[in-house]
Amino acid sequence: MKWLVGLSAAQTVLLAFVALRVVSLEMRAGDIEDAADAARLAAQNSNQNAAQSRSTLVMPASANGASLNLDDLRAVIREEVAPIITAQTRAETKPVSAAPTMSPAQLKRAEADFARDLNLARSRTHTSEAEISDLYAQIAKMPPQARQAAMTEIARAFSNGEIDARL
Amino acid sequence: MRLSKKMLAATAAAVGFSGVAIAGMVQPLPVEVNLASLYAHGDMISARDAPNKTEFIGCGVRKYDDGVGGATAFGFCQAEDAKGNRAFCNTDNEDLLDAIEASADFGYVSFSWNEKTQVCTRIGFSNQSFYIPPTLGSNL
Repeated sequence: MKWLVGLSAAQTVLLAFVALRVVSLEMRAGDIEDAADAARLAAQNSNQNAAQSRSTLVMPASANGASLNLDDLRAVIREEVAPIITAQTRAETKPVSAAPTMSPAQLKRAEADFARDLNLARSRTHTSEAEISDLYAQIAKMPPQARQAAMTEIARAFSNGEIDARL
Repeated sequence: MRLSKKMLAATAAAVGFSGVAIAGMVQPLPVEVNLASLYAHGDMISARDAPNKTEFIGCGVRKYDDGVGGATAFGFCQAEDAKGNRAFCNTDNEDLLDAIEASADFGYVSFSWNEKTQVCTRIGFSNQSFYIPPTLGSNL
């Protein structure tokens, strides 16, 4: 029993020692972190200063004899890159339903094809889903204004019961 | 023997009544197409179980290649009531398309349209327990 009490006391002392070591290590780690932050800040400031002094340096003369500094070069690069970025942004934000464009002749033909197929659907007692899908596929290729008119036509045909189809 | 028959009848009655008691609220809404006010509404189950062969309601989406590397989506809603009044509208408005794609299998559908263009002007869904058919089962 005495032996167990002794062991327990020794264990407690050891635990206290380990806890103290952990606290002291954490404090040292904090100090090191602070020192690293200070060094990083100093390096940044020194880089900024160097960049500022470089930007005022006159660069070697260009082919036409004019000299360029870093600010001029940045402006040129910005000018060159701007259209690329704009085009990329436009491509990324292009709406899914962006409609294609058509020449007047193409549009006339597309509208005539649509009118013909819609009338064909009207003339049938029952129109299949595939045939209606074909009408919508034609609408999808039309420019916005023609598309709207075609959508109105097809909806009216459904509402009036001129087309009987299960979609 | 007489006692067991009574017990059997009582049990059967209890089971029957408990079935009614746990069914929850139901709210059938037959399809109505209002051609004067330009709206249609109703719940899908009531339409499906309607005692006629005309009633239906629902919305759908189709997407098509636009021929220039993109896609065009069309949404549509359609309904017909017991009287044979029919409504159909379609849309390429992305917000309304989102609304259609957020619909559930069973539920209340409601839509309005512009008389001149036949374009959908409002699409609504409501997914509520009282629209779900009892045949789906019970979690009690």
